[in-house]
Amino acid sequence: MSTDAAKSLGGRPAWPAMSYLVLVGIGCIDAAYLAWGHLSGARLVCLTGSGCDIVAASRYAYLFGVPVAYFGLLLYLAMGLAAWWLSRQPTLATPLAAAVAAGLLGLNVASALFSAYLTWVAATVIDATCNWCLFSAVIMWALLPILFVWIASQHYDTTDTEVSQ
Amino acid sequence: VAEVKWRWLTAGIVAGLLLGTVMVTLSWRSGKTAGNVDLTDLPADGKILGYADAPVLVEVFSDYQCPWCARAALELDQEITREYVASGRARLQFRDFPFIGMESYWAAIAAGCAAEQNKYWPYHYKLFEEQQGENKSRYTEENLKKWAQELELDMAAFNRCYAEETSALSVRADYQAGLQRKVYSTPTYFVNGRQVVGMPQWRELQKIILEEYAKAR
Repeated sequence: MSTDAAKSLGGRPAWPAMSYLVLVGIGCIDAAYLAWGHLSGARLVCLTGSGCDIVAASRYAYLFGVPVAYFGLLLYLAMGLAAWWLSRQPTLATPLAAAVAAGLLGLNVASALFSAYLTWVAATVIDATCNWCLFSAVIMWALLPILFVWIASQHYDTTDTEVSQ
Repeated sequence: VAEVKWRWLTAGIVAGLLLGTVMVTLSWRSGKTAGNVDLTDLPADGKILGYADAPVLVEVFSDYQCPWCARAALELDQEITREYVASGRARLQFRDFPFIGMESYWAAIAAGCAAEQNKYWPYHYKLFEEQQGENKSRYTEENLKKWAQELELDMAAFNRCYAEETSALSVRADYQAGLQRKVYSTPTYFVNGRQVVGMPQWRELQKIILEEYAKAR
């Protein structure tokens, strides 16, 4: 993937795309574990005692009756898919590529904001700490500057690409 | 080109902020209103409110004349009902511990009579709402019957039950159970057997309920 990524970025640094995909992958595993906990009803392995189960059982862990962990997993999957597709585009010159990049940025900003809110709710309203949720929030926030650097370093027109190639 | 790039980036960030705000608002509202339930929607088996398979049992030993018990019932118990009983995680059981005076006993008897008509919980909360302190001649026979009438209970059955003290056995059994479990103050909560004396902070009680839920699930 590294050769493809380097090529796809038209000579631009490949590390943001790669780091982004790796982090999203880790986030996916984290969210999948939380979602599995909801689905199976099993107790979560938790560094903070029963904090993970307490947070997962709280009414703030549900949105319209659906566990937030499911939404989290979906978000990570959508972000991973969009990032993978973007990493294979030579430029962001087409409206579709530019829109996907902007959409991914939007999704990441929204998710980071939402995970910050959930961390605040866990700490102040539920009064429990869930290390898996905290880890996911940290990943969401770490993804943001990486994505920004990545898409801000991309070419947004074909002329620019030809020059750099 | 730079202008186009920044336009897309700005659009992404603004859309993200808007989407994030919507998600936060929806979650906050949903969390706040998730437990707005009607008592009549919940299954009740006499003095036990909630679904039979709920893994946590919250028992509260209480006296209708005790001011802290009224506060606990109208604040904590209703919060427990909204948050955990309605979602099937806990059951709430009221245990009579009438020790302040005869009015406490008669109020408990009357509540037991309401239970016979499956109206225990509305009547129980009515008693606490009407409380004015200890031994203030508030829980007189006249008042207890007036409130039963207001809640549209079958008055012939209620009067008979009250006169014959049909529910006395249950009240005495609760009181004895309280003594055996070393209840010395009201309200006293037991969450799956874990004793919490006095009126706890909501967060403290919530934490214990959730810990027990996590253990039992």
